[in-house]
Amino acid sequence: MTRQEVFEKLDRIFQDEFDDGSIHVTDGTTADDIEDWDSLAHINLIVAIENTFGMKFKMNEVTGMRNVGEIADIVLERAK
Amino acid sequence: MSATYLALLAGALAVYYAVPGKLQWTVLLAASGVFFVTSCGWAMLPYLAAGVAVSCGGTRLLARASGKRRKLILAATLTLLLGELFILKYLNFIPSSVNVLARLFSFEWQMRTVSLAAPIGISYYTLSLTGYVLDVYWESYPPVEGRFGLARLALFACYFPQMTSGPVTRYQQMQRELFAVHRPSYRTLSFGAQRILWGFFKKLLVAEWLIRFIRSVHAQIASLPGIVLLLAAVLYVFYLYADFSGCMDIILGSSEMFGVGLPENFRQPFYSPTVAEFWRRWHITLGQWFRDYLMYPLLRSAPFQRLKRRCRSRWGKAASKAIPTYCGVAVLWLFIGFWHQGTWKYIFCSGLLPGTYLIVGDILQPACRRLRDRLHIRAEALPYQVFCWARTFVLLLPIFLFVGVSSLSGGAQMIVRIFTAFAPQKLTGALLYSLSLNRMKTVAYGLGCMMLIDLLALKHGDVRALIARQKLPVRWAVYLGLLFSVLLLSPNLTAGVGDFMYAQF
Repeated sequence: MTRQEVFEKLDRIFQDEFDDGSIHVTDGTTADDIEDWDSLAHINLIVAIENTFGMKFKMNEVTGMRNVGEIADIVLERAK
Repeated sequence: MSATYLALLAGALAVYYAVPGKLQWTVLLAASGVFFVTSCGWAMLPYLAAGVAVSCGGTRLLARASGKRRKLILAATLTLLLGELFILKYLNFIPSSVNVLARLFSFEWQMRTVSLAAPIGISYYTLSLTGYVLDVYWESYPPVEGRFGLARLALFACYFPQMTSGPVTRYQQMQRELFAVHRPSYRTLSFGAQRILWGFFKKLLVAEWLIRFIRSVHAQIASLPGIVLLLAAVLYVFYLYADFSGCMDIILGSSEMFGVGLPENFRQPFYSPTVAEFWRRWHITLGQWFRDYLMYPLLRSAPFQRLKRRCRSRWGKAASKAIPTYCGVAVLWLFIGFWHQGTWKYIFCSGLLPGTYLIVGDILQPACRRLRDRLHIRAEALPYQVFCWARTFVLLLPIFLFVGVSSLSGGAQMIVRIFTAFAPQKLTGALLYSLSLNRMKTVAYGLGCMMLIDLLALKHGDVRALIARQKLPVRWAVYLGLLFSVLLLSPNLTAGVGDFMYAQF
């Protein structure tokens, strides 16, 4: 899986979770960039990513990730 | 918190910077031991030691085990760790709940309550240790090994500045701070001292004056007009903030002098546009702990995922996101409420009420946004921001009103009188004077300074750095103004700092 493929899937997950088809995430996208991305939405997002990619985040990853780039890094790392 | 604390701090600092860097953490451990024993006696030491030993031993076994055995070890470790906390702090929850039910159904039989002494800070250090055990279980990092592993974990649990009232810390974050070599610098020492002074200002000048008035009012709720009760409810919110955040300033300032950074527990909470935002800025580390170690694992668990799928098939996507999340929020706030002393009063006002606010707020949020857009109000416009801050404060008043009184019935009585016996004409200077609010200008000055500093922090970040950039006369006018305010305007300086509200939890 390439990084671009990961971001394409992440785009769809974010659009679905936040009901906003205009969302396009990049490496630097953070919770500050998406109005509804709060601590409650975060965990739903994490579960959706886990289900889509068939992997599990560690708890410290769930609470420690700072931007979408870090999410993509972990997804790619687990896919190896 | 007294001259003894300041003497211990000064002594520990002198030795800390005199010994070789590798030994600095042992000085902190020794000072923490002295603080612990002088605060609650030798008899409490075995309880603390047991908590640390169980966490240390349990996590070492976890690292060597696999499969079902890991789960068993985790269950045993958490049972011992949290069982100790429950027995020492919350045991009376069961008999007092049974007694309330018995009274409701007019039974004369009552269960006996017990009065057990608990080590200082047990509800804070148990959370920190539980977080450490869960982190190791989730393989976020390996357990503390080596000859001094137990001693290192003991320092993490009982680091003396944070012992009384938190903040709740995490091992991974604290090990970088506690076990690094720290050299003394003018900046860390002066900034730490400034923050301690600011904490004393809040506690001695603001909180101590306010609590005299609040206690007088709470002692005669039935006879005072509603307007005075409302004033006491409003001032209680500021009292609690001055008391708790002042305590945090002393704690974080003390720790800063050792070069050890502790996580912030407050971030200008009164400048929160929503109630949800307020709780992200108030007692931050406690909320984050329960979110990360209770709510997130719960929402990721198989039963919650099943609930989500069921909700989706029955009620659609929106419900499948909302219902499990709201269940998680409810559980989180119930536990936060229970953590505050394990009484129904706190379960109601620090658990059920805030949880309900958050859920209702989340449900109403889209409608509020639509209304704002329809009225063409810009979210960033200052008048709208001020309106949002005021709205948050008003919504929070009932919560803090109940926190302040001794019982739920006292809080209910206050609310009833505010609405039925408001009598604004009875609010006179003489009445306030008789209720110990006899230094209104001092209180207004203290509250004004507190809100101004928070506003500056909101706009500019670190206020101490902002002051440090000013010219020398301005800087020292601020420092000396603060010092002399504490020395000259505090109600009873010689008595030292009284108990901090959050030290009781």
